[in-house]
Amino acid sequence: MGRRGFILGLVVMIAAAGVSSAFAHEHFRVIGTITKLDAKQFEVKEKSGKLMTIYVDKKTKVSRDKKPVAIAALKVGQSVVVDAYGDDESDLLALDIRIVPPIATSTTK
Amino acid sequence: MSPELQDPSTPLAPSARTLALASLVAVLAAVALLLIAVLPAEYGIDPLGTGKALGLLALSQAGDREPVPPPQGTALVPVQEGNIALYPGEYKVDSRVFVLGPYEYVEFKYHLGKDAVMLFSWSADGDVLQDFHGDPDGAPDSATQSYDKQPRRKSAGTFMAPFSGIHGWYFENPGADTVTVKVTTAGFYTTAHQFTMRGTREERHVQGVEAIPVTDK
Repeated sequence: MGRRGFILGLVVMIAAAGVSSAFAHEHFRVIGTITKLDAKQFEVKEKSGKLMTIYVDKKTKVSRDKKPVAIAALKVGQSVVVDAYGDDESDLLALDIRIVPPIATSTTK
Repeated sequence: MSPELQDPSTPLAPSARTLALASLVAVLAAVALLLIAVLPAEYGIDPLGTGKALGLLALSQAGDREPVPPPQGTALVPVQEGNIALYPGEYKVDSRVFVLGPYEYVEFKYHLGKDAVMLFSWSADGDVLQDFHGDPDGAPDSATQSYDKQPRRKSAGTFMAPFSGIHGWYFENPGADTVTVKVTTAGFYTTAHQFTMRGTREERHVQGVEAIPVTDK
């Protein structure tokens, strides 16, 4: 195998690794209250007290009572159910955000 | 001296000829029974064909046959024999309770080979979104096949896996009240897997049939 073949093989391997890592994203659900908010991300406090930072992009959908609303409808203090994906908890992109009635803070079993 | 008179109530002793005749009849009857039933049933010898006609030959063969081993193989998949599906191993049993807080979900699935069977029963004490579905081995998420998404609070039945893969339920609490879901299964699955809201997949222990309590009543 010549140098050209080696480089081609390397490119294919790197591309395959990129594709597999794109598919390696896991789905997450975060449930809690919005504590911080800006144009690119927001922070949710879960019932355990854990703070989760979640990014948003133009594909992120927001709804209330099963009806779509603008992302500007999100406010600090609202209870939300966020479906997100990412490699881990520190790298989450919101796919779907539901604004729900206030959630009781009691811990479930 | 007067001759002795025989008591009329005493039966007459059979003559030697009568005794011989009766013995001969008994011997012939015994020989007939031997040929008709005993030899075919005990030894598989059937000189008159009566053993085959009466189904007695099978009795002589029952003890001689080697026990048939179960189907061989590592995969727990059925081998059909008439109305029976035989498996290389025993079935498993499992029971779970999931307590779902507001808007929480859980996914719980069992690995079954193609055509393997599972019995199930589940119930929830509140409204749940449920999706009984399966994912083929090694296939992408898009290959997921849904079997039942009807709104239900309980369900019981049997399931035959249409392909080798993981098969089970997605339960979601759609409301603000906590909901408890209890799932009980028995089947020819090998492993159980729980998928959490944190994107993790955890293998769960399932029990063999020895876990079933023995009742002596």
